[in-house]
Amino acid sequence: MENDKAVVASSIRKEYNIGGTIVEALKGVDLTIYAGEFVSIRGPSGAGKTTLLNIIGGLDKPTSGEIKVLGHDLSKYDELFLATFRCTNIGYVFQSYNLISTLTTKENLAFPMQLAGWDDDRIERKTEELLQLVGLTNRADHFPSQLSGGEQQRAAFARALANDPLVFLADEPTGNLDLDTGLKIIEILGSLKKKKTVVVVTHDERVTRLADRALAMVDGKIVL
Amino acid sequence: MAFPLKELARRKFHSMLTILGLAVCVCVVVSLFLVSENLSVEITGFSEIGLTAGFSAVFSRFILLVVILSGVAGVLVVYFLMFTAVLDRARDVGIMKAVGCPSDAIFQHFAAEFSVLVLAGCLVGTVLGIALHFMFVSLMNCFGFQISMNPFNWQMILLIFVSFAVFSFILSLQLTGRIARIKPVEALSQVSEDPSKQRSSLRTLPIFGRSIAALIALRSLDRRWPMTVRVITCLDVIMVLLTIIVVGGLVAEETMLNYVQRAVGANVVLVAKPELADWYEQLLSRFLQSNGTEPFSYLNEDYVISGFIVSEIKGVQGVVKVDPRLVLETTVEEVQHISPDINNPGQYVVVGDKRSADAVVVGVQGESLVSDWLVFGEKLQSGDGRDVMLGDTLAANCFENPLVQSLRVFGSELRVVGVCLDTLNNGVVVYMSYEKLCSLVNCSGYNVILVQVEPSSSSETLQRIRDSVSGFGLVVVDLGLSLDRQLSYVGQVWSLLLSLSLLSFINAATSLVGFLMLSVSSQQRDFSVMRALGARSKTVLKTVLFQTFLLVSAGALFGFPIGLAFVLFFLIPEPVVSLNTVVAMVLLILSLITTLCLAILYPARKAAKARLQIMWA
Repeated sequence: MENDKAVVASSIRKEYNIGGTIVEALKGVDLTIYAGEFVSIRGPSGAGKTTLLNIIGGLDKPTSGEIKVLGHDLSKYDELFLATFRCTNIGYVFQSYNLISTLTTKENLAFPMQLAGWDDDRIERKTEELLQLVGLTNRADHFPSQLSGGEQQRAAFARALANDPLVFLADEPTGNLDLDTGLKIIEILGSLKKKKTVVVVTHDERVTRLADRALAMVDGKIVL
Repeated sequence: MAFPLKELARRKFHSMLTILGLAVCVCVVVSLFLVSENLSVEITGFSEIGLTAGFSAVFSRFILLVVILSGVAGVLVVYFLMFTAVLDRARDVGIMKAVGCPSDAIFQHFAAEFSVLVLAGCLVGTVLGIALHFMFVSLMNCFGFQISMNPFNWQMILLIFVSFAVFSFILSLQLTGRIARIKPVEALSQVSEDPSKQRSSLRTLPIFGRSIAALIALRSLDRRWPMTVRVITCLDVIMVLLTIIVVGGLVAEETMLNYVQRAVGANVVLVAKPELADWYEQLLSRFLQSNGTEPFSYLNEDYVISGFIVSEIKGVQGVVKVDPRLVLETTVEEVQHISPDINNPGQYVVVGDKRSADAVVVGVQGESLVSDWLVFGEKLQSGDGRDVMLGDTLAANCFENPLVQSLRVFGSELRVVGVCLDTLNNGVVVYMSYEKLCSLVNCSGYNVILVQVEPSSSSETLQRIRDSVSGFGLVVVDLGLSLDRQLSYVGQVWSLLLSLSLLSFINAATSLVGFLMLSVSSQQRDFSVMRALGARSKTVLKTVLFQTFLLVSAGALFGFPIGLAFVLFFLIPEPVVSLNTVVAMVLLILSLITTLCLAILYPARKAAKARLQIMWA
């Protein structure tokens, strides 16, 4: 049964020192997510949703508590291990897209595969497939600054799928999309169900309806 | 004024970098100027007794080149650092204007900021330059030389200060005007950083099969093209400067040492009566310091050495060459040269005046000379009694165009055939035929014999010469000590000049670090994303280092050949380059590049350690 647990968070606390003031972002979060489970998280701004997602994604470490993802206690590993772990196991759609400004859309999608050491043909095939999936084939050679907000979000979504990650994390993936594109992304999210462990921070009811479990966070705690 | 000062304090790294860049340049120029005055190098046209004119000329050219290039590099570095500050804050200015701040207020704000930076840089540089000059003179005197501390030429120091301040201020005003005119929409849209403006060659570079670090490095240099061009221009000037300092300095040093050695002669001993031997050594040491101006009775019969003794010495085992001379001091006079004017038929051109000087006159036999001077013109031919060869200082101070003029000595007019670089009597010397000099002064015999001995058995040969001449009241003095002292003097002056000049290297590091700091800060988000996606710190480090490599290579590609051309075609006549010098050059250049790499490690490491939180800041 332990092997079925993709994410286990135990008493996670996270504090930030901002200008000498300690701000508590997470106040003892306990959470277990099973492999293949689709979990949505909602909550007001400042509730700690993004912080929790960052800790699950190995981008940040908790001040105290334990976070196990795919059996690894991420709070105990160094940056070198975490970089490799993120590259091979985690797909992350950032709220602010975070595409690399000096790379084209196609190159941004290829970047994680390059890091993982894939060969050129495989990267080329996968990139084409992802561009088609998110409808950006005609924008492949454009730089992020030449894309609209929605297009950047789709590119970020495609990039998160590039390495076939076991854990897929998304922070408001439909936040800036028009109705049609939003539906397309929701369809893709739906197709990930049961295949990957998905954690989505969202306020979109259509996404929440896809989830096996819908959580809510308030003031650094999971309340539902 | 308080707000601009607060801004400078808030951006203290950048402010310090700008002040340092300007201060180093002002410091190099001020210290080189003061040092050259103390060494009596005629950089500013003030001529005093000191180094011979020929040696001064090489020092002067070197110092003049370094001073000019340091000035240009300094102004460029400061302009570049200010430009980066402006670019860095274009968005802030856009926001200020968008919320209603008038252009005048922005102009005043930046003008005040830049004025503080320029004045601080010039002031710190001047103070440091004066302090360095004191250190230089003290060091030289510690090494046993007698360099007097000349009174400061305050007007010149003020001129340097004002020149740097005015040039830097004019450039800063140009930037200030530019930023004050910026349109808020342009500033906020960051048009200058739009990658879509990139040239097609870089857009088509495929990511596959290439290093991602190299690609991102190339793209980000291209993305900041106006700044990239400026930093490469800065580095070009600095590389020219470094090449002249390193290659020129080392080659000039070796060549000058070679000139000295050729003038004095290697493995040479002096045979003369004790008083004259002492006096001759003093004549040699006038290269290092002015001494003994009282008259000396060279033609005293007691000092005469007969031809028999010369023959005796020639027979000593281990003797290579015997160079008997008649040495005396007298007044010589420049003779005007009058020739028909080619451009105006019927008119004449007069070259020179009727200047006179007290010079050492040496009668020599051309075929037996132990000296092999660097000669401009022709060497003294044996047998032609009407020819003379002048020392470089005499030629420079008493003649307009010596090679077409004549010299009057003892009432006789003699043709100048050549000018030699000589250290005897600090270059105020005339070489002529021994026979001619004898006939002019109406005496016979020599008063000095220079003997060149085989280097392998010099001490035994020296003893044998002593044995053969001891019965005639003559002493044998090894001139190797005088030569060593002269070589050491030239060597140490060069070493210290090189050290002073190498301060300019700080400029290279300053401009490069400044560029990379800005480059890194504007790419911080990209670097964080790369790391969030699984890139290791090493990849980010490689990206920054590759950028640096490209910049330094571009700087070296243009700067090194230009600097080399300056050295070979302008700086030194008949350069001498030994294997040791080549090795020293390579080592010095490698160590400078290594230092440069160490200097950029700070921004590179900062980039590699970029906090991932920046992404969602």
